[in-house]
Amino acid sequence: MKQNQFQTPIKIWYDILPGGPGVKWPILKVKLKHSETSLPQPLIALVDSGANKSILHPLVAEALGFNLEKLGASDKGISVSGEYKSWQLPAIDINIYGYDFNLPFTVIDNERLIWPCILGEDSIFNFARLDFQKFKGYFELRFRKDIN
Amino acid sequence: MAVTNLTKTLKGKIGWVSVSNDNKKIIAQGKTLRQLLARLKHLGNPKGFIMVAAKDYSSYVG
Repeated sequence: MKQNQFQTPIKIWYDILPGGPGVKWPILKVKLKHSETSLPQPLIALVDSGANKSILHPLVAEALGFNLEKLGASDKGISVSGEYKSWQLPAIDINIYGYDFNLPFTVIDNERLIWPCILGEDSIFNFARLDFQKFKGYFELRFRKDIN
Repeated sequence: MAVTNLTKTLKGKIGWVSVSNDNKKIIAQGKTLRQLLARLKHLGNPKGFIMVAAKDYSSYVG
């Protein structure tokens, strides 16, 4: 894809969170909405190229109005820590730094998940070009012009 | 702008938190997201962002 087919780059600085010394995380702040329900503040979302699917914390799904008990039979997935149960949600509106998308997130059955939201290969990596320059402390997002 | 270090802001906090946009203060917290959202509503939904405060993120592999 040619260079001029991307929006102006957005520079995002890595975040350091509690734990091991100086671990830097690629995090975005995203606004979520489903039907008439939106969260009052953005959530942090981990950008994770190792995630095939984009994930929502079950409590976030609940806050957006989903009743997980009524989502039907669960699917099974595999992660580093083993198997997990998951459900596919209907599409949710997500706004990432002013750009709107509609995404079918996966909810996993783990209330101990430390990320409210994880953006994987089926979302941010489809919408944008990402240049990770961790050695400089930031990464850049260039959203595709052909879809936004 | 530079790398943001939230270690000090999140120190001692566990559960769901709302962090001020300057990353320096915890606006509200709750054991569950539902509790946090109720507290934010009570405060008039101030600006900030929501995250889970955990003791140690470094062991996460995904």
